[in-house]
Amino acid sequence: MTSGPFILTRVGDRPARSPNPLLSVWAWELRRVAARRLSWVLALAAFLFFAGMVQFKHAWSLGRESGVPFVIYGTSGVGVLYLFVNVLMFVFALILPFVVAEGVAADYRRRLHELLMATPIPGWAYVWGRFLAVLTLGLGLAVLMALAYLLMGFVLHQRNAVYPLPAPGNVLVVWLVLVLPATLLIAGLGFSLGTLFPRRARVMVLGLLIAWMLLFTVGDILGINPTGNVMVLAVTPGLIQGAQQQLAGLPADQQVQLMLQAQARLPDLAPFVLPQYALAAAGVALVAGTAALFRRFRQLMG
Amino acid sequence: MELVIANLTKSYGQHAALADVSLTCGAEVVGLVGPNGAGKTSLMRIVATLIPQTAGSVTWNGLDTRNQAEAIRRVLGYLPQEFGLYEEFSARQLLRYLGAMKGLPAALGRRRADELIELVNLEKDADRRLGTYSGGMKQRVGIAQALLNDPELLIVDEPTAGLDPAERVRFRMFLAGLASQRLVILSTHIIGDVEAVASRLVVLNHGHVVADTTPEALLAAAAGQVWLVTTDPATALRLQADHQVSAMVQQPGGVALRLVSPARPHDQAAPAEPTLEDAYLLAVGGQAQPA
Repeated sequence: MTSGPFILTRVGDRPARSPNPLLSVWAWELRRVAARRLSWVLALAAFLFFAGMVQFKHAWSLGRESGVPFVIYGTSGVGVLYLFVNVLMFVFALILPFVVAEGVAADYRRRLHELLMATPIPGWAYVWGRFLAVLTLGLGLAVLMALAYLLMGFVLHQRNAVYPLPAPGNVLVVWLVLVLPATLLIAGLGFSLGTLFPRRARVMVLGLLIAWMLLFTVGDILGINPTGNVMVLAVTPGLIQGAQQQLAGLPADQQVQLMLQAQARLPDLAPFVLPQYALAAAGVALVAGTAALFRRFRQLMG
Repeated sequence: MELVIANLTKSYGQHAALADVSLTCGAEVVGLVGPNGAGKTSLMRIVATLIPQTAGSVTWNGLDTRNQAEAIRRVLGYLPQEFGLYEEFSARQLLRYLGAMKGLPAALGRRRADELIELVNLEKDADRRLGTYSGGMKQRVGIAQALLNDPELLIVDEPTAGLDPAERVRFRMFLAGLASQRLVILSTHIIGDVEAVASRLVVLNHGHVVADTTPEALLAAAAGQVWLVTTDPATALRLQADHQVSAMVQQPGGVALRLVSPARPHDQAAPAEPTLEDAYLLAVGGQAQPA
């Protein structure tokens, strides 16, 4: 402390409320994340990991049992869907809960909750602002995933011309129909569980991961897998059956050309938009419920 | 400027942390003392609108903590006993952040943050990450954040814990200077802090107010009840079991005890001038250990 008299600027008449409490919480939370060096290291690691996953798995050989396999190239119109659904989204969904679940819970763990709850920030602004922040991080991760795909698609094309250059338009459509709604759902679910049960936030993350893996493997039957396996299952049979009859007896180079033609266009994803965004709305509704249920003193009661 | 606490009760299951507590406070420094578990933290959290009471009411200038909490938080400064900081932020960033959460306009928030950094002597380290700070430096950041919004109601729980003696004295002086325009509730185990700055002393024990007085009056009430005696170790042990001991020093000629007792505890006991710590021990009975 400084010794002697000290004059502080008077705060004067206090405004009825901060003009933008929601934006204030959102922006400051992002600043906080940006101030942490580890955030940037993890972002780089995630980008490299996504790129590595594309390098690890970028082609599928289907219909082998018929003796005329049909190869899906990961950078083609159909291939982009395959790669996002079968590789990238699976990994993304395993990472995202870690990013979102502690949007509020971390304050409790770091013993900052009491300080923050003594400020006049409204509870709804605190919860929604923190959700927007983790959602922004989740979407940033999803953008990194798309960029890693485009980069590795370019590399694959350079190394092997059979792989077409990935079309950014296709990636955008897949991102909007598949990735964005899935991000909203997982972010809403993970954030809500972590906020309502802050002491068990990490257990919640673990539960989400187990649930996700179950959904990925058995969810197709129920048609509720937001990673989009239903999309792949919907487009695959027609694609293979139509092409396999023509492939039989053709020389290898002509087979490749025929397969590339058959998978050049991104399948029509319009029928999936509504169900996907219904899941996204469910994620947002969970956050709305969490904001309504949030009691600033609950975490202090113990 | 008035805080009115009326018939306040707080229960955690079967345990009553506060039982029918009533207080009225104006612009002053109120020292809140009591042994561990006396109900101090519960009382401060209720006044700070952080937890709800079980029964009774708390109003600040007519605003009820239960349904007008946000209005009270606008004029509240609060320093909890245990708190964490965002270690990735610098002190300056953290204060600006909390200024924003307190609704301060950005320019004012920056100015207040800079001034408070100067007040708590952290100018040289203000842009260093909080993760590198010592405990005392973090405590100073905690004090600064409580003052960000120029609070009319300032509640501080063990504010001098972790401060070195010089910082502690300076903080006491600063706190005393604040009292003319606001209510400061200071909870501490360090009786010297209360003695130095509080104009009023509230002693809590088992959830009840056992004394609501001035430090001078509490001292006066202890007159004639403090004794000094030097004796052998065996007698010292017996005296320690039968009476409250506020100090004990091993000396070449035996054990020197300072005892708090209404009656002379030993033939050789000589009366002594009471300190506020002695008076506090008398007020809480056998519940407290001297700080």
